[in-house]
Amino acid sequence: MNKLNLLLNFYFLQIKNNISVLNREKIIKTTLFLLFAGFFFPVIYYLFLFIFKHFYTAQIIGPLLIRKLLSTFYMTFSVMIILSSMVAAIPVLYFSREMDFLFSCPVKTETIFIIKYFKIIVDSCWMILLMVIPIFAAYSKVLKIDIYQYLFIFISHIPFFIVCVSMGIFLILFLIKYFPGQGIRNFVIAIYGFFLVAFLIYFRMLEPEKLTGADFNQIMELVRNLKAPDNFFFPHSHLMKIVNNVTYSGIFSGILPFFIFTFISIILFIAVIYVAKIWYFEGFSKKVIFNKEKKLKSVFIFKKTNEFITMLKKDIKYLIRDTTQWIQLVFLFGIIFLYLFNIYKLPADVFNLKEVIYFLNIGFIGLVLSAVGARLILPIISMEGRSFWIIKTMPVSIKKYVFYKVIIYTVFIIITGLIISILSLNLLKTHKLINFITIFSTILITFVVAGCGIGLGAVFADFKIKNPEDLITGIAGLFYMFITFLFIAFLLYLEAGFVKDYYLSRILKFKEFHIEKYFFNFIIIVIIAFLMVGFSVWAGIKKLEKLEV
Amino acid sequence: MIKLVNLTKKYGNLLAVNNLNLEIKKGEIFGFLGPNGAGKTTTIKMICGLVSITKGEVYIDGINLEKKPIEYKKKFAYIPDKPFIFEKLRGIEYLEFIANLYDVNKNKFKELFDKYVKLFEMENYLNDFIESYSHGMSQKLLIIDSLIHSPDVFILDEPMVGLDPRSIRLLKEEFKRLAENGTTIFMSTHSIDIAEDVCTTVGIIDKGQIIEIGSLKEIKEKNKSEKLEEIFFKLTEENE
Repeated sequence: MNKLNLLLNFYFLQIKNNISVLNREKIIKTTLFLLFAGFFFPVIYYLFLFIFKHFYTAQIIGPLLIRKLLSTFYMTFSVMIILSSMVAAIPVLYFSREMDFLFSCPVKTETIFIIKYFKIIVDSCWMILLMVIPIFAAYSKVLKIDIYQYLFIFISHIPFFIVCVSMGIFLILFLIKYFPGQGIRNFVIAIYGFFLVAFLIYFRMLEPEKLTGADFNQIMELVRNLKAPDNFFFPHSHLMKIVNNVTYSGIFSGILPFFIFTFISIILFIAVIYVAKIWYFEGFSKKVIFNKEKKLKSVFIFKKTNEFITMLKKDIKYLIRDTTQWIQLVFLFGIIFLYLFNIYKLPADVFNLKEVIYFLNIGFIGLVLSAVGARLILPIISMEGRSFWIIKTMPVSIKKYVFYKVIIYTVFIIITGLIISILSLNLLKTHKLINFITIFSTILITFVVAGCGIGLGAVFADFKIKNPEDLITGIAGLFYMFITFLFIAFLLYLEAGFVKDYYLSRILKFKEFHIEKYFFNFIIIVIIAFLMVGFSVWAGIKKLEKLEV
Repeated sequence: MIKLVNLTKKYGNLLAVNNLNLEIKKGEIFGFLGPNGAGKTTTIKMICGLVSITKGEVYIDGINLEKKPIEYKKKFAYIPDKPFIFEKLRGIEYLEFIANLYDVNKNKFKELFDKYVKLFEMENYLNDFIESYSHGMSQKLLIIDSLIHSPDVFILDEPMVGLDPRSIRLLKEEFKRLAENGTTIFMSTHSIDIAEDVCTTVGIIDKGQIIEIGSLKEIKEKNKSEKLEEIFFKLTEENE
């Protein structure tokens, strides 16, 4: 126990030192995080208040609907926690820098494991724990439960987290015993991404909006579709039992299921410690597994390519082999799918205003592309990581290097943008001129998204960062989103007159429409796009040229 | 071949390299010795264009780094002390990537690839991802890639760290052979034995300034000692 305290103090000291040394970057990050949290809580609260109220108003079966909905959410949360604890467990248990030191200390394996277990549970559950606060605040308001019931439900999440995390860690201890750590981590990350997107698509396809004015059969269909298996072996079933008992029969009826669930969580916690005692060190000692020797083909054929193709080949290989990039692509397809599905499901009466909808569609496409750019393009330069010295010493100028990146990713995102606009265009069936304007706007937006993404990605490049995708949550992501949103706003503002006049003349026959009147506006948009991209790229090049590696 | 003129680097108030003047001739193997924090890596990084120069100029084969950076970079290969390489590439793909960037022709690539991959016993690992390489294997991959594009100058920061004894011996022999054929080698090292064994010229740096320079023979005669180790300690302690 003394050793456990000693190690815990060692970690707390590191956290304390980390917090006490404040620099400008940290202050900005903390402020942004607090702002985000300040925005996040009310949004989640009102979103769930809306959903719960909406479901609660369904005749007779309102509470049942909410129960089913929560059950589906908690089943999803349990899978998310199991997967994210698996993702978090591999670096924490096997690849942390201090692992060699810890295993060389006169400390029992299980003591090291318990310390690491705390870190994994915090890493994989903090976000869901934060979400629980506003979700159950909304739940309390709609279901009219008091503060004690709320707190009881909140505390009941502790055994839920312990059970899910223990299951995830057990799986990792087992898998690492037989397979290389990095490969398993990549695999779990990919599964995690697919699961999240599949869940979002599944939930959207339930078409919850049908509840408005729905008849009994439609509601029953939705209830049937909200499938969440209820079984002793699923952690969410125990939590839901506590939540339902506390909500409908008071705190006392929740005490027994709470004790049973807590008991199960303690048993699982002890069991996973016991398993770790046997498997953890064995897995750790074989964490670095060299790939099986694969002899080269008898004659290796060297393919001579120019600089651009050489860089392109490297980037494509990275894109294919880096699972974090796969997730970005999965999210990308998820976002596109949801967007097109929403367009497809637009009520027929809205189609009378399709030119207006289509005009707004340009903005929505821009927002989707901007989100994609922030996730996929902004971190590209930082992804070179500590190998950036190779780029700095190779006989290719930084200017060319940045231009190559702009070209590669502009082409990629233009193709994506055009797919979205052409598909949504087909769904909306608008006039040719509007179609042309949308495609023109999409190309400009994608150019700005890619150019500013690479340029600002270079300005804010961080080659020491562990996960370059984290740039999105920092000042770089904020600035990038601001810049691209600003461009989209400009574009909509300058095109608004064109679309309005076109609508008035062609649909309502109010006035004559002369396309020449708007040429100047379109030229201004093109100039703004080039200026924004040019300035971002120029600033990025200057930053990288001056950067000391 | 390498010329440093009044080279200076300041980090805020700290003077890391102070007005360094140095000229290394074609075919020389120059050993750069000095205690930790003396300014060796900063000097090397300035020569390679990885760190900005506060004052002064750097030339390789008469080409100025700041005026003609691309031509300048074609002239040298750099091997850092920490071999970070694109880890999602396979060893073979990295060699192909570098050969294409340095415009190595097919025949030359084949000839040098066959020679050095066998010499450093890397043929069984080139199909693996670099992320699975040990420090020594990454170091060997960097050595092979720099030998394949056969530059006029090698700039090496502690190149022997992480290498097995056989590879160290091979590398020393290869450097001697290359130097005989006119290649210039600038190498920082903490190992006085390696400096004595390989280098034709030695420079000792302390607190950002060269405190001794010359051929091994000259330095030994001037300091009236047969042991470079003794000279190194004497000079650096005097400079305290």
